[in-house]
Amino acid sequence: MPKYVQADKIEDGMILYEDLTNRQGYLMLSKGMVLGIKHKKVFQTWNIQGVLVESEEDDLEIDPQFVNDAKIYLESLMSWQCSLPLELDLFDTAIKNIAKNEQNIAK
Amino acid sequence: MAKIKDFPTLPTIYTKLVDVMNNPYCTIDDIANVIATDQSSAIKILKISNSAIYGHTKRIKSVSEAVFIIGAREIKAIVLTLAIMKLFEGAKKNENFDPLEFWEFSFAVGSISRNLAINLKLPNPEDLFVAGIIHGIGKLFLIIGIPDLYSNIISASKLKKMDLREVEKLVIGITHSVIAQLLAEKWNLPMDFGILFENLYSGLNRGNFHNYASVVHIGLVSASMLKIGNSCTEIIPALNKDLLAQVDIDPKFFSKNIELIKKEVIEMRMLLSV
Repeated sequence: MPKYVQADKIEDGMILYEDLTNRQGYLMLSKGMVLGIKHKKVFQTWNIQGVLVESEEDDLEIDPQFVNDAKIYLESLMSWQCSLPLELDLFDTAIKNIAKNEQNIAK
Repeated sequence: MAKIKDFPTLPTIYTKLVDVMNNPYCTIDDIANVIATDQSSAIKILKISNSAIYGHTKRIKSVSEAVFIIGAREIKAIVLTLAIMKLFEGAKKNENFDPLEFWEFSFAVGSISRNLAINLKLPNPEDLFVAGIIHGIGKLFLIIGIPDLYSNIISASKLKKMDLREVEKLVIGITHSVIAQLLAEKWNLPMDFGILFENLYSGLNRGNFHNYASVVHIGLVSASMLKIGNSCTEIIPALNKDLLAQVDIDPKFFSKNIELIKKEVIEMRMLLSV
């Protein structure tokens, strides 16, 4: 599960989630690279505001009740069924996004 | 219809830019000079040009540099976005409409569209970003033109769980999609925008994939489902499965890009002071 981190919040040991390429498509840093404090300066030079890094934050952190409520809520707004892989990924991502937001509000 | 006829034209910065760029001999300085006549737009163009969305490693310090590095066509697209946002800044908050949430939703559609375009390796993904941001002009027109009545239409759509366009047709006899097409015509926007507004909810243009209509269709449906911002309606329009069968998008696109999309929405809100 990727997490967006602002360039100035990079910490030692964070792992780059995806290849970092410039606008011309040239590879700047490879996916899986272990980042460190020194990269803050590098990103500043390259004018990169933030990157996606691997995150151990998993779905278990979301209370299943919020997940269930989000699923019921979304289904009530749809007159169609998700069946294709992309639709199912969208539906799952939306449920987690709504559940996370609701959980944060409840906190 | 009369209200559309009387509705203001786009701000002169955009129309002047179109005129200048129609001249085959126009130079970067000609374009920069037009933009310089509107300081507020010039500052925003520099901010957007330097944002992660455009992803340049070199800091862009002047409008001329922005035109040179980002490209005149992209700058024109940014100017169009700013012009449209300015035109609709009079849209007032009421119990059924919040301009902040509306723009947040529009930025989400833009961000998803841009990232889908990158995933699909389409040319000029930034054009799709702009197309996504301005997809909702029909609704904005109604919010400004008939605020109380349109608020009731939004409310009825929510209460009855009816498609907003159905309620619009019943109450005022025209949908926001048709209004958007008429505005695109009035403003002489490029033909792609007309096709986008006409086919936004089907995603196909006469059965075929169309860069603007297809990509922004997926952007619209997914932003509605992800509940980023508010589009005036809670109902989530259906994704066109025929369209999905025609495109080769990474099946994990949304789980991989959700954080990036949310980040770009926040960034746009800050850049455009929304």
